[in-house]
Amino acid sequence: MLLILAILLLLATPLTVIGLRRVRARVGAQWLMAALGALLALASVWLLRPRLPLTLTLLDWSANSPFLESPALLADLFSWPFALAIATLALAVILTGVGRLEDLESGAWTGSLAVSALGILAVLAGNPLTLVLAWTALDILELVMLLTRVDDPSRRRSVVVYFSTNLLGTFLVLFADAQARALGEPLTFASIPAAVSPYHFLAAGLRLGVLPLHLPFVREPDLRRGFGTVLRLVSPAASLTLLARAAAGGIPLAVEWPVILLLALAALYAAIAWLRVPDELVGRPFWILGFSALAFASALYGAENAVLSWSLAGLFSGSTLFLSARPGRSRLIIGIFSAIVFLGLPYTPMHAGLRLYLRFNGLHIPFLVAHALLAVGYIRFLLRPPDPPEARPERWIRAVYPAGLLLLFASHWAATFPQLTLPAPLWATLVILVLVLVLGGLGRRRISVPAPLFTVLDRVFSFRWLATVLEWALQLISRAAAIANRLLEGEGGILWALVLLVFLITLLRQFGGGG
Amino acid sequence: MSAPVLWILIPAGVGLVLALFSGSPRFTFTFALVLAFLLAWAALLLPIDQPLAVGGFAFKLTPTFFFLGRSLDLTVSDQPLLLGVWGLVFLWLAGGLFAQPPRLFAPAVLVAVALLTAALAVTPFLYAALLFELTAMLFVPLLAPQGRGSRGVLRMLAFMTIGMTFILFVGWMLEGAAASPGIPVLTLRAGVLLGLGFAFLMAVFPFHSWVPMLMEGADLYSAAFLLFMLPGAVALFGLELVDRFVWLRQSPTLFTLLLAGGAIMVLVGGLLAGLERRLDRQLGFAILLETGMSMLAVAVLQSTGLALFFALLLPRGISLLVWAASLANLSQQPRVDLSLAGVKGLAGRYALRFAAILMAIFSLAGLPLLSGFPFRMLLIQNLAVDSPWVAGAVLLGNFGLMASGLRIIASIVSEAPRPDLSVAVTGDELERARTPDFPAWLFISVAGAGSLVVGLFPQWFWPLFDRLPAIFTQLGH
Repeated sequence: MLLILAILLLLATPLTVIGLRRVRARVGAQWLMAALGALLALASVWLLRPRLPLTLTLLDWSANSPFLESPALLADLFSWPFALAIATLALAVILTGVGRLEDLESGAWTGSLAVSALGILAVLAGNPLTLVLAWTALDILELVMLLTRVDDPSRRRSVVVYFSTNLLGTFLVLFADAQARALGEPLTFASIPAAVSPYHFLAAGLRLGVLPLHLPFVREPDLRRGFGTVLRLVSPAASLTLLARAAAGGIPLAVEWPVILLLALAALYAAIAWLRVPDELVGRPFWILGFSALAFASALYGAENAVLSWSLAGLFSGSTLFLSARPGRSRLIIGIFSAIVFLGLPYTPMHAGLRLYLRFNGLHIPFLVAHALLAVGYIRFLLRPPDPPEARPERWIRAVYPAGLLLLFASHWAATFPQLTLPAPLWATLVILVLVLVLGGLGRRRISVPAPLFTVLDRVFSFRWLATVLEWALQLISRAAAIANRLLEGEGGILWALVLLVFLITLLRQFGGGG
Repeated sequence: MSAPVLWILIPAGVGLVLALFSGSPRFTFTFALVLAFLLAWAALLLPIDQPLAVGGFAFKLTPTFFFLGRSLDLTVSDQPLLLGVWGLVFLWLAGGLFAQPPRLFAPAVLVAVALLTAALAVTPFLYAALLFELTAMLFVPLLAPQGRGSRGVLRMLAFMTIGMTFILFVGWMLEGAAASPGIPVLTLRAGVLLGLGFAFLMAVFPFHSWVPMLMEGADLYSAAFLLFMLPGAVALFGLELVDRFVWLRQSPTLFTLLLAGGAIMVLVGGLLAGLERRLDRQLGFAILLETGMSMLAVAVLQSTGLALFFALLLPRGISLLVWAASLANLSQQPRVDLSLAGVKGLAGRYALRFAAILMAIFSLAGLPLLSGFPFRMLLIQNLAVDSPWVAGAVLLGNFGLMASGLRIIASIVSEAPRPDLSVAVTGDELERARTPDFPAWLFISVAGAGSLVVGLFPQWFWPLFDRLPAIFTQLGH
């Protein structure tokens, strides 16, 4: 029961807040209720920690029926840190929301809490069946929320494309399940056959936009800072958890280097774009793409701890940056500490991420550069003058706001505590530090990739041309199908049907050995 | 009284009488709804061939009714099927209040379901083919009002007649094959002709062209009802033949052909639905996909039994009903064209109807959480054991169908409402469109909630499907 408590709390709180809004309660009361619900949810996630691993069957599908699996939850050392990240983010958004007038609206809090609830459900999924159910619920909620908040038709189209690729990822997990059946092994997260894990990688890669590289949201939807952060970070968290689990299966050696190459391109492209955008909110999709590519590469090498490390760094450090809009010393201090963590120094949460370089080869160089660029961009946005304050905040706001950021920072350490001492290549830390200093120095001298060159690189490496080619191919197939339909539905349709039948029989005889 | 009188002759007779009152559609719909409910209730509570006492009145529903030297048989094992059929008829009639089909719809539904029940109950079984043809002919006035959609209707009649001829022709051959199973040439010929007959009757690829044609021109709701009921009944008839003839039942070729044919149907139906630009034709292709799913469910019956075949029918019946009713209602709205271009920017104006259409599409495509998902997943898992690539093809076909839903979403949200329409549609019309009447709202909400309940709690419904295969003496065990 404890396992589902956080989810229930995060689902019940928005309903309570909506009830309060209906009875015209003050915004302060609504905020307090939202914060209390999120706090209790976070506490219930913390209560799980000493009891790991924990499982819970949500619905018993196998009772009186031939279903082999039932929806179930599993909290273990892979899923719990993600659950903690999402629960912390939910509370942090509400706490830091007091510092942003635009976020002082209960609709944003209820949305954040509901998305977080489904996010926790997805990361705690105990088997692929639960994962696809949770992913779908999350995707539908995201689709509805984005479509009701985005006015620009072209961005709405991006939302539909994003939803479609997510669904394709879901279908790939179902295909992986079918493949596992073919091998005679029911698919569970406890043992993912090596022949099946590539489908999981592809599913997670599609959802993250990493493999093949695609960015539905090159321009971010116009969302509030807090709600937008939840919406854009929870979904990747739900996909990264699959990566962490599939990492043990690895990938066939024959396809390893081409995939790594594609990931290196994705990481570099994202990191360069992250460095060039005017502010952190515009750059949010590139940040997600960047750290996801690094986590993905770690998964391919079977480095589960590195996947966890990159994922949590991306989620926690990213949230800290995206939620810190108010000027103030506390913002700067917490932000600088987060940036230091992101560098991957020993005994910090990100250090285990450098285990990606344990089997170092030339293809890893772009990852080192991408890591450094992401860190430089992070520091740059941190030092950027924040949004001007709307009014002088009250004292309690000045206390609550940094508490939200501090919570993220502390939770990051707590979530990764067991792997703080994991050995990772120290040379990689040094290289990152040197690269950050060099690239930071170049940045200060305003030396950057020239705009025309970046435009060309952007055209090639954003893989938007691939989308155009695919669209063109689809149109061609669509035209061919229309012609075939016209033939079959025309006056000579019956004759064409007979011709097709003869053709099919010939084919079947051919493949059936002429029997 | 005999069971065939109760579940065949009474609805057929009432349907014919109600046709005389087609000028008052509200009356005919209400009457038909009440009758469908009573027949479903009777199937649940009145066991066939057992003495019953209601008040002081004692009677027994006998299983057989003789008619012109032929017999109609309905036994106690048929009752779960009768309950399901009349339950679904009740829902389709209720959906008709929202879809506003032609006035003769309710009477025609009663007669059609009676004919299809008779087709499954008649001895000798050959008469079933005639009854299928009769059912299709009965719907002609509904499908092509004022000659609209007549091309599709003509094609349907042509294919039905060819199919019927094959079945009739093969009938005596089958009897011969049963009498002398040692003659493989005879059974091979009978099998091939039978396969062709079923391919025509069930619109199996490449004889599927009449289905999208029918959906494009004919009355949507009537066509969808016919295309749900008729292939379902034909499939049950086919299973009865497999159950009856041991050489068919033990033929590995039959199951291989069902596997290949089913996979092709799912792929063709799903991918063509995804590429289609008209919303009504998309529904037609989805029906083809569903026929393929049924074929695949029969193909794996050795591992799962027939319960899965029946389990796929419930989400199909409800999803097609919701899809067809909402689409039919949408087509009656002012200045709405059922093409992807024609529905651009209409998300806000007809939100509830589009939500219902999308829910139905996604449910049929096996989107997790919705009613179609658990049973499709079970089918795919069973297919994967012996033929993983068929399982892959099924997933691909289903994703194709899902793509049709995604294209609808992209269309309805991608552009602001067309300025010419905004001006042309009056304030009253707009207000009416945005707030569908209470029955419509209730119908769509209940269907949505029902889909979620089946999708999340499939174990509650499985025992219902598990009882249905008992109608077959051999396949049911």
